[in-house]
Amino acid sequence: MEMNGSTTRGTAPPTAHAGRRVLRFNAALTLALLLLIAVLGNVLAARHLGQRVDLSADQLNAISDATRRVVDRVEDRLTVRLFANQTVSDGRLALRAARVRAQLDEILRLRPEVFDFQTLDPSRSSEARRQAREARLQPDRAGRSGLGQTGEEEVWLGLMLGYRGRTEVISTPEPWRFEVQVASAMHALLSDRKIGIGWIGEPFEVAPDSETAALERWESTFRVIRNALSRRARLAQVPGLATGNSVPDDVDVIFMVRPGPMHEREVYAIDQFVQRGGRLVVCLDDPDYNLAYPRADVAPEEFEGSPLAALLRSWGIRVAAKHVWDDTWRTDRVTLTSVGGQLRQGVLSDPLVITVPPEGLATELPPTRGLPGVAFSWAHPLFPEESTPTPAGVTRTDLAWSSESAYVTDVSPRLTMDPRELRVLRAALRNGTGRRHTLAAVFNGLFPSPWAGKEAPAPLDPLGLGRAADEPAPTSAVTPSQVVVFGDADWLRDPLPEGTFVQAGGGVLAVNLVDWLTLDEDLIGLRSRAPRLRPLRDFVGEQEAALGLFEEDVFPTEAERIEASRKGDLARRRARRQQWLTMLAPAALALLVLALFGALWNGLARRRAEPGGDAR
Amino acid sequence: MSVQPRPFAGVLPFARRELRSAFESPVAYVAIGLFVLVLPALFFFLGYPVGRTPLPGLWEGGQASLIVLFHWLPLLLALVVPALSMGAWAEERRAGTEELLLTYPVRTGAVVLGKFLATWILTMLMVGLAVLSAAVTVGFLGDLDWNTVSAGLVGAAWLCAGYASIALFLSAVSSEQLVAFLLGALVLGLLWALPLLVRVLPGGAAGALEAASPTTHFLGSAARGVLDLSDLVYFVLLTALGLVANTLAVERRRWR
Repeated sequence: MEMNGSTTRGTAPPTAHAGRRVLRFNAALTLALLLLIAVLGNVLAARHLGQRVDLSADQLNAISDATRRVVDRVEDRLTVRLFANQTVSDGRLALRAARVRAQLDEILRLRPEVFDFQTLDPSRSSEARRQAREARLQPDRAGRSGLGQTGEEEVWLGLMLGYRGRTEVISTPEPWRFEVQVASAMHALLSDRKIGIGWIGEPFEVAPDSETAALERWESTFRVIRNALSRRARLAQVPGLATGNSVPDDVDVIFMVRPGPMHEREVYAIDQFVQRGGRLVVCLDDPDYNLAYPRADVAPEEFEGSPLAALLRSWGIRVAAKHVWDDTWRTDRVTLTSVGGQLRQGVLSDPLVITVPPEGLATELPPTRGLPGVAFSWAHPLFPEESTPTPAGVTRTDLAWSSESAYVTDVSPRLTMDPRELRVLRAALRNGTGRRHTLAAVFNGLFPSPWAGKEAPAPLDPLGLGRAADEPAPTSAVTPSQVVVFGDADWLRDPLPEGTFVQAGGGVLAVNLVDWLTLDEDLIGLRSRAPRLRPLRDFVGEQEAALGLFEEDVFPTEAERIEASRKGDLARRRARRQQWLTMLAPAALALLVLALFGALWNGLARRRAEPGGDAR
Repeated sequence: MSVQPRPFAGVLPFARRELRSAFESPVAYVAIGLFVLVLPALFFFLGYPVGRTPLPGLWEGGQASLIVLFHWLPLLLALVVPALSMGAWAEERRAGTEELLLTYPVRTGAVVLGKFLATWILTMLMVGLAVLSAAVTVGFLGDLDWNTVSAGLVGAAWLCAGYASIALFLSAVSSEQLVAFLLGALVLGLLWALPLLVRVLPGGAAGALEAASPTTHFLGSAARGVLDLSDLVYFVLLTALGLVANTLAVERRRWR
């Protein structure tokens, strides 16, 4: 041993050499065994220990209750066929497959008795390749990166689910949304039939030969929402209501989007659809007041006297012709103004385009739960329940509303072209008292029909065929239903290509509404599984508001420009100071805690070291 | 007949001894203070510009989340933990106190465990102060998910344990402090970098390397608010491996 320094390596007796060798060998063996145990333990843990707890508020890393409910509804054997390569050379694609597989295993473990799981490798089996091709799966192509391997490899990853003779294919499984993909596919397999959606009012897109086609840059279409709804349901226009047709039985929900003048018979058909239990979504948007809609053909007074307004009034629904002006939840948008024949671009903080945040949405109702926000443009407020009471048997729940400091105002379309006028109006409005205005509401219950006890209105009869003899009598308040009313239709529109409009959450809200109204809340639960936005405090915005800076004026005078610039600089300086204070204060506090701890520790150590102190 | 000491006798006194020597010198305070300033600064201003998807800093990203800060932890700890533990054995050897230490009537494992506990507590104090000071800032600025922060801190404790045991082992096999630090930083840095090699490696090796990296086990779950039993098993085994290796290295010297 070297401990006393008298024995050296060269003079050690043979037994000591042997002892050291044995010791080294034992140490190396122990380490190797431990390493092996560690590797095996990790492999086993990764494969068989699926227990985990998701403590995060968003709960995005655990199987959701919605998925569990969907899986619980499976009654027969559900075949899950995974098309994947057994070995993948590309590390990135291999990890993607591993993550998808891990999540799939987690879902299959929920009810292993109902799943019939198969793994097929199309890169090795021609039969598997044929099945993958039949399911319209396409392989990814990746370069081989292994030693001695060159060229490309086909990497397959796809899923086919089969249930009661029907199949659903997930052609591109993505680890970040795989659970939603699988649960949605299962949900589609478990549904008896596709939901039917009827569309009344605005066409999905502008006809190419119409005079407004030239304005298409400014006037967005409904293509995006049409595509979103079409993926979820059968979507079709509902024609012929004015001529006596009723809404087809396979229509579950009607979207009435910015309806124009309607014949009384058309309105009657919609009333009877609701009386049968059909669900109705009405998006009223007075075109006379909408800049993006120069084809105004309905005056406010005309609308108030229309059959549709009368029907809605009988259900306790009234939408004001004025617009909601909300400085708190206003939206920044790009404006293009013609000055001397040239377009000038500016940024306008528009209080008529309101991006309603989650606190302006009913979180207790599934359609709006989890939405990051919805943008409304030139929205009309719904009359409050106090002034327009709902009839007996009908209840009202507000779905979306403005901030507490919003106003209603008459504005002219010209206004958006002149930010200074906007500012004058804003100043004038500030002198009044702001309040919360309802932008959308849900009505539930037994809706009374205005035609109860009367004869159904006569249909349009251009051919003079006369009324059908076997026409049923109007029904009223027989089957409970739901009507959702919005004081705006722009939330459904596509984003404009020029970026002059900001859309948020509209598409998801529309699809959520369909699922909710047709009692498919599971899908809403799945869709709402998105990380919640957690924005930071906007110090600059707060300081700008405190200094009275509201928007960037596109026509400032020199004095205004200098003043705005000075205030802007001041706001930014103050905001920066606030930022530094927010960052440094906790760090300083942590250092102070450390210093106090050090002082205490060393003080105690010194006391212990003093004669008579605790020397332990 | 010689009396065998109890397996864990001496662990706490040795841990206290190590902590006392750490807190009685200014080095620990400077290291912790720097960490408390540097980690949040990187999080606030720089973001995490490593890997395929660089993450923005707090002000640029505008979201009340500590995920970027947690991304920095494996890398920074790969440098800081060896710095804190490099003297644990190397300094004992330099000062000639190792022989004395090993003559105490306690098991070698207890000494190793005591040193490990002290390093772990020191590291956790450093990480806790840095993470909590940043969390207070972010909590004031927005709606911070404190549950995720708690899970992240638990995961950081596991990570620190794994790192500390490996760094201590490397200190035990090194003749000098500098060598111990360089070796520790190199090994922990390699472990941290394993997931970066995923793109250039073939599938099987990529999966194995990713599973072997503490970065994956920390960032893949605890940093996102998930406590996974398989991650706990990984860190327990990693820590145990480091501690046993450390014990064997010291034992080897004791009988040399």
